[in-house]
Amino acid sequence: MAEQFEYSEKVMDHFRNPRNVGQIKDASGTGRVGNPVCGDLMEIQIKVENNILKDVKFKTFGCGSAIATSSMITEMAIGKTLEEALKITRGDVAAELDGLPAIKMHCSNLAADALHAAIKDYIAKKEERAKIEAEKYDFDVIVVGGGPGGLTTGILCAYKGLKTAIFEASNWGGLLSWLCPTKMMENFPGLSEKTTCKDLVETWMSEAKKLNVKLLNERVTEISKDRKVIAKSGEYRSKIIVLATGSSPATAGVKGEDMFSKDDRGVYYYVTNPEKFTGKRVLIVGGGSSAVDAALSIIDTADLITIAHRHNELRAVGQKIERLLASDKIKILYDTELVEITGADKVEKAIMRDLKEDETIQQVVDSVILAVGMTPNTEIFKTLGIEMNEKGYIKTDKTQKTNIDGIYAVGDIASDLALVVIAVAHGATVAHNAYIELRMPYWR
Amino acid sequence: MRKVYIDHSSASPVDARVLEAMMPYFDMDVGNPSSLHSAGRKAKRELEAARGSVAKLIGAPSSNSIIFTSCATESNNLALRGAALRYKDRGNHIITTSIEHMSVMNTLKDLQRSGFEVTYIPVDKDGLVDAERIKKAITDKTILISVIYANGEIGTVQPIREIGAIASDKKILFHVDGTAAVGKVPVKVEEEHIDLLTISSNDMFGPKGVAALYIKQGVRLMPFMLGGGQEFGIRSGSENIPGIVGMGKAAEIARDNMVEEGARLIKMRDRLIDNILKLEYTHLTGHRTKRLPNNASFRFSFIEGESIILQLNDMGITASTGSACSSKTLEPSHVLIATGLRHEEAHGSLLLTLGRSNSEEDVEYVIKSVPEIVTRLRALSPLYPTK
Repeated sequence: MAEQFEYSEKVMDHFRNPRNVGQIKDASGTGRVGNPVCGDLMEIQIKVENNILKDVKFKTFGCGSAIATSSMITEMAIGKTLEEALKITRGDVAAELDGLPAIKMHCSNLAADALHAAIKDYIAKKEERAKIEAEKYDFDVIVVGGGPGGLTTGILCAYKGLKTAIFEASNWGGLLSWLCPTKMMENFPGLSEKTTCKDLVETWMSEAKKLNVKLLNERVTEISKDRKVIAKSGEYRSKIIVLATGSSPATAGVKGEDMFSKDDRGVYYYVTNPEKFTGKRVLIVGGGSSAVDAALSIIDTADLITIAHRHNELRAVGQKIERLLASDKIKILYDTELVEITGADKVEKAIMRDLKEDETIQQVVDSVILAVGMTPNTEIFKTLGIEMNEKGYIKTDKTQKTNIDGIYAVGDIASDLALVVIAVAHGATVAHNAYIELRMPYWR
Repeated sequence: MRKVYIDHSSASPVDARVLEAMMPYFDMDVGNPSSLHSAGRKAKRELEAARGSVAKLIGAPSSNSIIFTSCATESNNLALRGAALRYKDRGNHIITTSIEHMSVMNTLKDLQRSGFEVTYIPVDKDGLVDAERIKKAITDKTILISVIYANGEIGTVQPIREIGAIASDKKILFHVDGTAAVGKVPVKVEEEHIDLLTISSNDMFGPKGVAALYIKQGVRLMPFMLGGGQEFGIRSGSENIPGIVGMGKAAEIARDNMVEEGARLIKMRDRLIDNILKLEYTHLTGHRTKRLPNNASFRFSFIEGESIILQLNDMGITASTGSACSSKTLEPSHVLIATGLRHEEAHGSLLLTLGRSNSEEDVEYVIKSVPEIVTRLRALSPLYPTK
């Protein structure tokens, strides 16, 4: 083949009508190659979004082929991923232009080099930015609350390589540890047969430690909008904060409740140790699954169990209700409301009202268990400006984000269902989205 | 679209009168001047007439001091090599300038390889050589001084008479490359003390394939084309009679029209210069007044010459540049570099060389087109300061 010594029509077209000339405002990267001394200087700027070259612009000092190759490569590169663009060679550019004169193949065919330089500049800047950002923060993710939602969020974030810390004010594992440690994980598929709540918490703690999650057993006193967490040991900055403060049993708000609910004087909100109720006459207030669970947990120890429920039907799993109804120790008072708890030093009597008959009932009891539901522990976030519903539950989108940038919420405080499986699922969702937000991977 | 040919230093059209004069010698009057028949004698008469015409153009006292060659490059080769080898017993030192044509540069470089020493005298920013510096460079070994009359790229006309006087005074041979100058400005070999003068045919609208060398009576050259002893034994080979006739005619027309045509060209040249220099970051190359009547050369900062040429070409304008990108060696013009330009400055050069066919309308069109192109290319340039 004869050596090419003239410019092809395509070269002349790009030379006459150069595409994508100019500069990009806020360019993601700039590549400059060549040297005016040699006769060619190219400057290519790129705009990168989601790892894709959204825009490429050039300015070139040089001959016809220098201008044409610059123009051509902008057309070739736009829309490509960085990896694809890095594969474009000088030869590809020349071929796309139907060849270049032999003498121009080396000196004026630098456009691919300029594009690669711009991409490398972008990558270097991104790494530099990430480094500076990383130094500003103590953690990628701080989780406030060490219950099921908090622990699993922390574990899964750390599993993805994020630097994670969890704060817990009292017991690791939350309600699982202090409400029902010995209960089997019965509504958690896969765990119901062999695993108790306590076992599960212990496993989580071991996993968290293995993944180098920083576990801080202290109370967070303040969280700021710019994601600063203040605790006793100091201030911590985090790129992302996950609220996982869980819920607590609700108070009933009846007369006498305050007087007997402390120091083991007869009013309880849940059963920690069934032995404590041995031979006792117990009144359980409530008709949901926590009331039913409480009754079943003491069915073998208590002497007599009365359940006072405001409605005329229990709200729990059918087989549990059947077990309750089968026991002769249990008496259920439907349409009945607790009005007052009385006694001298300890609980002695419960005063109730039959709502249907509009009568007052008095019953001698040794203990009262108030299983009237749960309240989200979100009071402290009101000053932060987190959006909540009327019951105090935090509003999130499907990625568990709250209305404040960089703040997520998981578990009971962000769910209608106070279930461990839901909390764990939240943890997985947050870990995924936190990783995307912080690492900006190409696949997002 | 208007077509403007403004690249006469690269190649010039043959004048119609020249072509007409040449025509019979291709197929009708084809005698060899060495032959004794009437056709041969006719050829011999035309050959000698052409010699006389060229001699007259440069004020040579005898037509026998003109020999015909095949091109100006050959004339330069013959003058330099022929003189150096012929007079090597007197010395081995040659003086020249840094803005000579490549046929001088490379011949001298070759002579350097065979033991000659060459001093290259630099030029100032206008491309002017200082006669005093030449004088100072002379040693008792100096046998030859070679200076270009006027460089075609930047148009600067050298102080030949002054240098000639120095050479004559020191009895050193003085060669002048008159390729771009002869026919455009009055060159007078006797008054300017020129011993050897290279004369181009095409540069004065004669045909290509022929040129001449003036050799002062008494100067001997070592021939390198040996054969039948044509051209006084200095340049053997059958004479290119059509070409020589053409060159003779071209010399005659040039001589007759020089004053009038020179004035017309200078007017157009100055109009080009005055108007194009109105562009920002634009400079003249070469001397403003001591320059060839047909030469307007510039450099534009932040842009490159090949691009300028291609864009001008798209607008119907044919011109030249000294940019590396348009050269075979990928080096910028050594002439521009010699005037002190940096490489990147030399890359942005534009050479406009007027000719007999150019009109004021052509000039008008060029004046309108050049700024458009320069502006367009600067918008592409990363070097151009954006406001």
